[in-house]
Amino acid sequence: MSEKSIPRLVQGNEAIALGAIHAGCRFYGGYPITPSTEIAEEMSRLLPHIGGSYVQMEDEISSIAAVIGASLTGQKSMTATSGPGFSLMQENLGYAAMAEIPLVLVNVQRGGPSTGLPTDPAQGDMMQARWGTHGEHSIIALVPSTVAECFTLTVEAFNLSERYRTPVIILSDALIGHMRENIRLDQLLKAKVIERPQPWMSPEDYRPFASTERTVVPLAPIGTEYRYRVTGLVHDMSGSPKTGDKRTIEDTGRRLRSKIYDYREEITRVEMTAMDDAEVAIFAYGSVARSAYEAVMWARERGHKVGMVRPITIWPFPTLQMREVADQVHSIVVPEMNIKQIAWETRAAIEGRANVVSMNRIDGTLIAPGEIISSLRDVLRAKGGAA
Amino acid sequence: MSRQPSTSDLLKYYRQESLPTIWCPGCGLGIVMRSLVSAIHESGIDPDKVVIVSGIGCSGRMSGYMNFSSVHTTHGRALAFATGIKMANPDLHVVVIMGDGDASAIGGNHLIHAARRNIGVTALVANNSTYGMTGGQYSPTTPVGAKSTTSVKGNIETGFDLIDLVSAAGASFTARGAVAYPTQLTSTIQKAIEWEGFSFVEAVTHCPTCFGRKNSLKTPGDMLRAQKEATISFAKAKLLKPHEIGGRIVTGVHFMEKRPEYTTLYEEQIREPSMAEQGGASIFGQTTQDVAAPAVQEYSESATVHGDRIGIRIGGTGGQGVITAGVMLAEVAMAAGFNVVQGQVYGPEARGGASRCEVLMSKAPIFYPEVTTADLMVLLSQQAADKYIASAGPMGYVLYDPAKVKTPQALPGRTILPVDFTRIAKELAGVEMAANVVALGASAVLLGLTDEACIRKVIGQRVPKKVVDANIEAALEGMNAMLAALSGSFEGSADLG
Repeated sequence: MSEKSIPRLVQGNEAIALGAIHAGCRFYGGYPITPSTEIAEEMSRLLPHIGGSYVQMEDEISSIAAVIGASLTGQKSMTATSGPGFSLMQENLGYAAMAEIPLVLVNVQRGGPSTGLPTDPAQGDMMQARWGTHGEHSIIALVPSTVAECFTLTVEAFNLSERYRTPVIILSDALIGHMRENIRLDQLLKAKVIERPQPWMSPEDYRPFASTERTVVPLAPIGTEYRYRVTGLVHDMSGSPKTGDKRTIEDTGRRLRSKIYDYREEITRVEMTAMDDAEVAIFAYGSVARSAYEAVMWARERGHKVGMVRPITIWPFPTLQMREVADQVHSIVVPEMNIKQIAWETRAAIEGRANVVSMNRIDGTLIAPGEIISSLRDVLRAKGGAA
Repeated sequence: MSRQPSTSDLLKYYRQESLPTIWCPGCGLGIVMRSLVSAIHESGIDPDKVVIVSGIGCSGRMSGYMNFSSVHTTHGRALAFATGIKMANPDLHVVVIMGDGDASAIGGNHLIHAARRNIGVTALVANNSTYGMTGGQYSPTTPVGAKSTTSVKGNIETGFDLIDLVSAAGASFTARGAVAYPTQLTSTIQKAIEWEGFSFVEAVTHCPTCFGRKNSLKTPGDMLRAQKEATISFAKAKLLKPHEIGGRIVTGVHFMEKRPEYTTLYEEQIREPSMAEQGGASIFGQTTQDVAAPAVQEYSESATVHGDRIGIRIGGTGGQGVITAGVMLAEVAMAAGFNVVQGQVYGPEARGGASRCEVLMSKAPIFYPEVTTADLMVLLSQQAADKYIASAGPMGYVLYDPAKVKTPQALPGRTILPVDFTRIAKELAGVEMAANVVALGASAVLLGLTDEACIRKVIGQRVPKKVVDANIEAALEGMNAMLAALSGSFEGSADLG
């Protein structure tokens, strides 16, 4: 048995750091904040061993700025934070979206707003992840439910960020982040890694922002013979500001959205559990999904046709998958540790095809299986069945 | 005075298709830009390795007009972007162009921290004492009394002396030039670019449109004349008394003192180059969290309580090692082939607050990760006892430290046992702090996790080297004490339930 094939007790935050290293991350810029700090600690310890760099910046604004700078030199780069720091990162997150710079931003969610509940879990930043930066853009966000997924989704986040040249957010929470579980590293290390592609065209022919719906132009490292311009202003395909050209403005805005939105079927993953004959679906993500599995088991043991849909990608929202689910079931129960952030999105996505039942808790406590079960009973009773 | 390169020498450094600039006629930024490209030209550095980073404002546009890799960033953050660029590729020559508001208002924090770190980038601040792009509001360098669109009665805020500011923050190179003296400005920038640590150059410039018109300097010529009259070299200024210098623009290098550059220090003191060649793979062989499991231990069926998961809660005070004990217990259970989930709750205090650690173990996958009722509860403080005893499971065991916890009232169905965690740690292991590990040993016995070799290994990996032996002793004594308590108090097995 090799050292890697033994089970290991690993914390969620630590698994994110290990996943990042596996994915090829070689730069971390961050600022300590509970409950994400262990990611910074692990990265500061691991990166110097493999030629990478860790820098502790003066705040979260500069953390993501340094990450963007490092990514531009060709290094896969990441930062991690929690609520207040996530808010501070929003402007430069938009910069990364506008300038199409790959990076991974981990938000280990805690209760908010403001300083809120520093050590307790929440899922209150779902919409901030989607719309926190100003202006029209698309974003990719992944939601881990287990320590093993903290590893694998970090690898996937890096892959997606390179594939689509875009910032990718991981929405963990204080519970998953601080929880330890046994993982099998030998299995996790099989996760495939996408390297950053290099430009195939000459520096003279290189147009860093000429991506179309079909192709993404590789990002050349700055400080090489590829001398190009990067700006947060609306720009043409060479990077020159074009704030007076209505056609460029409209095209740029639409492309930034469509380059992700048009690929949502490829990007957006959901996990279906016991859905084949389900008449009711629980739609749960992140740590709450753990309780939801138990509610499904409770229901199935009693012969109720209840299944579960777990979004692994929450942005882009799995609209098409949820429409199919909604065509099959009569009700979708959405338990979440915020007030209806994803329930509203679900309602908008399924356009009345099924009944959406929201249940919420925002006191820093994980929704328990029993609470989801009691929502299920209400739904089942309303349909006339015994529950 | 050195020769200024000719325009034909410099044309290749401009993106000519991006000209003309957006700057007003008579603006000083063009002179700053020419001084910068002249300095780069004169220094002979490879233009491919130059990265120009700029912020937002009129000065922010400068990066795009020059034919280098250029990053036009967000307002105030240029130095933070530059820090990441330089860290990720220390071979690059990174020049950061900022305006006065950019560098010292919104970006003031990044300015002082870049100076403090001594990261090898050049910060070039074009100081025109106003927010020009937004139409002329007062900035942190606007003189007292000066008029602007937001100080129509005259500015009442004392301005920064930017050189004093970055000097106080630890900059290893500080200098000032003025656009009225472009040759000197060029040579000053050249020295800054060639400097190994953080170099700071204030280029005093003027905004005829937004500042001059409001402050009795009607034309660019008036502004340049005023600047010339106010300028004095650093060498001459040194001969004057402070009150004679007041308000004058002191140009030249103010300060330079070698100190280790940040990325060099990181390379020399932090990097461990030995593993770099093996890539990331080597990392995974040696995290501190490694637990080499022995051959999977058969777990006894009787260890199973109601359902197939066992919940353990250890309650105490921050600093007692409650979480460490829980983590080690989880690792011992994992080595025995269980799935485990370990979680914790603690207050804001690093020491002294209530602290609780939970472990779930099961042969089946564990979904809901919370312990609702504890099959095994370990109480190491009165506060924890008061808070948690009600959540002892109906058939559960409660172990408490009589040195810390008053004898709890009997609870129907629960087995409540005193175990002298503190006394055993102190008297038998010689380390009072190891009470948590005594509790680990006692808990392991109750859970049927009695593989001594495994417990030794887990402790060896989780506690500081010099106390490993004492902690192993504590665990073994804890196991003995539990066995004794069980055989003394009860007929029957050591298994839960």
